[in-house]
Parts: sequence; structure tokens; C-alpha cells
Amino acid sequence: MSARSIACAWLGRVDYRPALGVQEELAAARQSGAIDDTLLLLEHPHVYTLGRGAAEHFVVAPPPGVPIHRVSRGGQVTYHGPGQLVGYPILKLEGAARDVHLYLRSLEETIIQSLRQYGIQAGRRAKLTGVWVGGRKIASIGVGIRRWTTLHGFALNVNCDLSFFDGIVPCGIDGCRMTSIAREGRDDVEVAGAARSIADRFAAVFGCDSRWIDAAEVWRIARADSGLEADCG
Amino acid sequence: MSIEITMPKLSDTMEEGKILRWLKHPGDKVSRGEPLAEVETDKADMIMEAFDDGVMQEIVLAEGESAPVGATIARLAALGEEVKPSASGAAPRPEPEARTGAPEPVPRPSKPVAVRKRPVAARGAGQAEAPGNGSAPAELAPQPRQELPASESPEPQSNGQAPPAAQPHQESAHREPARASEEVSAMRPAAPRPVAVSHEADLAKLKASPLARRAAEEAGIDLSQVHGTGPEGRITKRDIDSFLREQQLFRQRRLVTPREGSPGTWEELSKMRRTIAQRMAASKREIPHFYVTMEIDMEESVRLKKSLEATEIFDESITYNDIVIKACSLALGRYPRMNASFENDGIRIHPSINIGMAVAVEDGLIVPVIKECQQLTLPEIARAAHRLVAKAAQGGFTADELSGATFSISNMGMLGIEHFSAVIVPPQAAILAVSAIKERPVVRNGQLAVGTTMMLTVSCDHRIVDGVVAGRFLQEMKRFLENPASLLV
Repeated sequence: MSARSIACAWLGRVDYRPALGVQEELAAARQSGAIDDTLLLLEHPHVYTLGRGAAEHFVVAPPPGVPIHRVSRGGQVTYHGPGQLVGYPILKLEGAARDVHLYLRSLEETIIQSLRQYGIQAGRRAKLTGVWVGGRKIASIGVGIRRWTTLHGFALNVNCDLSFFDGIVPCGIDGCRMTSIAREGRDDVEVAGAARSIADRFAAVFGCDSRWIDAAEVWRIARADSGLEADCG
Repeated sequence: MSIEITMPKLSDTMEEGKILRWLKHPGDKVSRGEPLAEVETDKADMIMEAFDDGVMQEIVLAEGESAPVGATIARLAALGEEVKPSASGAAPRPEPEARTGAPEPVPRPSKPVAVRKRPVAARGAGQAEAPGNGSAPAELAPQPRQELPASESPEPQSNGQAPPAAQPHQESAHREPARASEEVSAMRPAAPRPVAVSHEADLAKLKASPLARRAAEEAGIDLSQVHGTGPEGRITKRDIDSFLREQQLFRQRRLVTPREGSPGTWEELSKMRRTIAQRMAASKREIPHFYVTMEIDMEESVRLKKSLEATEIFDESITYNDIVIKACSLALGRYPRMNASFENDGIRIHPSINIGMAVAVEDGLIVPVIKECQQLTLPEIARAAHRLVAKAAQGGFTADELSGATFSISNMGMLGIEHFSAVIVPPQAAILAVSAIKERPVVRNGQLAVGTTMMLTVSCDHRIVDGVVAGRFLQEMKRFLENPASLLV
């Protein structure tokens, strides 16, 4: 029985930038020890994000009206949107857990176990971080670590419109095809339901107790003040 | 005694890591615990912190490059140890040498191989030996061209540091990317570039793949600024991408770097400034502007605003800007040619009135759009406008909110501006410049009096409208603003 506890919160649909602000605020609070490890679960409106290593040309043909954000995480280009479960774990990695690859593999394990509950056999591919079903990618991972506190996380396609991935070269892998829980035959799964399953598996994989906290509590902790950054032109 | 910084092991299974960007640069002071660099392994990116105090002496592993765990990626000079700027800038940069280790097959028989292959450090030293006063301009002789009169390149000061001869040619490279880079490559051995950029100065790097050349041209990048990492220093598409990325990071850091030889500071254009530069220059180049100004008596509008405030009849408080937008959308409805675009040698009249509002933000302006103004009441316009202004302060506009304007308004009233004229935002037909509402002398019935007035200036595309339309449009605005009850309908 671990003394560690992780607070899980379902935030619903949140714009990318405020969500990033919340993460940064929570990460600062986590570093200072003001809060426990926290797992934010949410869904974004349509958005493309580019990791630090990402080349702009991986955004091939963005549909009009979909904003593009460049963010300080590893990984390449990805899409977020309705029907996709996004998880942002704000964890302080300590002791043996201070291993970046171990953390990435644990996130994959969480998703793989959760998909197994839905009867979907998913796995890993060598050197291609993420979770795959056959040759298709069902979940993307990209994390940032600041003073051993984690930011960003994973995105699991539940029943999102996969055509939005056509506008990009996901993760910089040419010809990378995407899938979703719905595409794999479980069109009865909702994003909020997947969030419960993920929270449950996350606690199991990371060996901690999970408890749910209210979204309002998260917003209270994170008086998100994401400065000005215009994304025009 | 320098301290070696090595690639950190961030995982038991980590074999190599990539430097995404350096947060400290040669000459920067570093304190223990301060962020040094961003390192990427797999899909994780991590901030690496300094373990010692010192001064960054040398970056060994360039941004975008990978190295095995434990490899030296930078050197730190212990505090108190002197770091010579020249040593930190030019000498330590082993990778160009390593990269061009294979003999370069550049077919340039007239130049001795030794010169081309000479590592950067040696070249830096070489130029220090012979910065002869007369020699540099002589070597530049075949180069002077276009708008660079000889008088602009002053007599070189022979301090042995940066050869002044290099400055004008760098300047010219900026003006005319494609041709300039060829010329630069041809003359490089004779005219060394300044120390600060000499690490890039490798002949072979100006070789570029056709894809890279096209990408550079599209992005408006001077190839001579790009560091090639392909075979024999060839510039690849990837190099162009990382150069663009660096530029973006540069923008985020908002660095202002002095350029050698020219006074003042030089700042890289932010993405926003570049967009403004391109669009405004295109506008003034392409669009034959003309300007029409009218003075509007604002007494009734002032009264209206006061009575709306007094009665609080609307939830949203109404500003003069909202009143002007409403009057403008009504006037545009009557003069649809003002709500048009010049397209393929024709004129497209837009069915919707989408008004862009120029809003100043840090380092520029953005023009969020109020859509379908013809359907909106005054309080609805106010709500939309206030929401966009609030968003401008926070960021996070969608592309949709910043596009699709059919007419624009620039309001400088809050700055007390007497009157001004604005540059049309292509492909729109016109833009309205709104100045301050203030007390001005007016003549009423042959008597001088004090009135409350505002100047409106509309800038129009003469290909689409003529003066009479612009004048009637302003008359219409005047009618609405001087009889503002019409705005409440």
C-alpha cells in the first residue's frame, strides 16, 4: 500500500492555451510541494500543436479555423480535438522513477491496459513512442520535464474525427496512420468514460491511490495567467 | 581550467540525447541550478541545469545535434577565469571541421584547397594577421553594386578584430538573398566575414539541395546564413527548418544584438512584425490609395452614450468605438462598393459586412474580426468587440477570428490623435481611421462656437471606388453619427 496519492480531475473541454497555463501553474505548485501529484483529464477543441523538435512543414494542410500552437514538449506535430482524451500528468518524479524512458513506457502501459479493458489489443513499436494497434497509432505521447516535474502527456483517440490528422504528418512519421477506440470497434465508448478507465489504470501502473477532485478545485489552484502570445498571421 | 558539461543520462536506457536549444551562450554567466539547455530524448524534453558556477565558454554540441550520454556538450570556465570573447566566438567549434572532414569536391580550381579547408579558428587568426588598411576594400572591388555607394563603407579601422570590409557584403546579402549568396560564396576566401559569424563561413555550406533552396526562397531566408549539415556541408531542407526554428526561438528570447560596424541595435523581425511588414508593403505597393476626411459633429452621439449609461438599458456598456462600428456597418450596407475586394481584375462585393478592428498588442497589432455586422444590434456589436479586445490581451485567437474581414477600422481616438490615415489591409477596399472626439471651433449659423467633433478619414482602393463613393460613404456615416437614434434600431 503506497502512501502516494494522485488527484485526478476531469476538466471537460478546455482550450489549449488555458490548459497549458493550468499545467504550468500546477507544475510550479507541485515542485514547491503545495499539491499532490495530479492527473488532468480533458478534451481540447480542434488544435494542432508542434513540439520543440517539430518542423513546420509537418503541418501540411491545416483545415481553416484550426489554430496551431508551438509548445515546449518533445515530439513532433499532433492534433487534438473533440473525441480525444487528453491526459496531463503533473508528477514529481523521485528516486528510481527519475528515468525519462521509464516514465514514457509507464504512460504507454497505462493506455495499453486501459484499451485491454475495452477488448482492444494494443502495443508498442520499437523506437516509436506511442501506443499502436496493429500498424496504426491510437495514442500519442509527448512530455516535458522541468526539475523532474512532468508536463504535457498523452492523447488517446476515443471517437474523434480522424480526418483532422490528414492535415499533418503525425509525429513526423510519414505515412503514419491513426486509429481510435471507435474505429477499433468500440463506438460506445465516450471520452469521459475513457477518462475514468485511464485514471484507474494510471494509479495501478504508477502504484498510487487515486482520488477525484473537482475541476473547480484545479482552476482555483491554477489562477492561469498565460501571457500574451498572438498566433496571428 | 574549464569544466566539461556532458550529455546527461536521463534514463537507464538512454543512449543519446539531442540539444533542442541552448539557454546559455558563450560569455553568459551560469549559476548552479540555472537552466542550461533543453535536451530531448525520445518523446520527452527536459531542462538541464548547471551543476557548477562559471561562465559559458564554449558550446560543443550545436542545437539540433545529438550526442551519446557522457559526451562533452559544452565547457564552462570557472569563475574568475578570463574568457576571451574571440575565443568563445570563433575558436571552439569543432563540428564544422569534423563535418567537412572529407575533401570538398567543390569545383573551384582557382582557390587553393587549403583555404577552403582551413578550419574556422585558423581563418579567424589569419584575418587578424592581415587586416591591412588598403587591402580589404581592394578585395571588395568587384563586389560594390546596387545601392551601396563606396562612401557608405567607411575606411576600415584596423583593430584586427572584425574586418569592416565584411560588413557591407553581409548587408548586401540581406538585400538580395539569391544573387547575393552566390556572390558571397565567390568572394568569401578573399573577404573574411566578421568573427561573430565566421563559424558559419564555410564555402561548401552554400551548396544546397533544390528543395532547400526552394524552401529558403519561400521563407525569405538568406542561404548564406544557414549552416549546412548535409554531405560536404550541403544545406538540406532540414537545415532550413532548423534555421527557421532557431529564428523563432530567437524571437521568443527577444534578443537585441548589436551588429558589428553599424551603430545601434538590430533586431530580428518577430513573426508578427514580418507579417505586418509584408502585408503593409504589399498594400502600399499594389493598392492605389486615396484619402477622404470629414469632420463629424459628435454632440448627439456623446449625448446618446451618456443616456445609455444613465439608464443602463443594455447589459453591455457602449463605447464610442462600438457606436462608430455600428454607424460604419450601416453606411457600408448602403455603399456596398466600400465592402468589396479587388480580385482577378474584377470587383467582388461581399454579402457580409465583417469589420476588422485593429488592436494594438505587444510588438504589433492584430485585426480581429466582428462577423456579419449587418445583423448585429449596437449592444451585440459592443459585446463582440469587447470580447475580441479582451482576447487580444490574453492571446489565443483562432485563425477564424483573425480572418475574413471585408472592411477595417483603426481607432486612435484614445491617443488624442487629431486625424490620421491608415493603410488598407489587402484585399479590402477601404479602411476607416477614427481620431479623437474633442472640442473644436465650429461655425454655426455664421457664428464661431465650440463644438465636439471627430475626424474620420477613409483610405480607399482607387481601383474599386472613386472619390465620390468615398465621400458619400462618409456623408452617410456623418448622418448616422449626428442622428444616432438610428443606431439603436
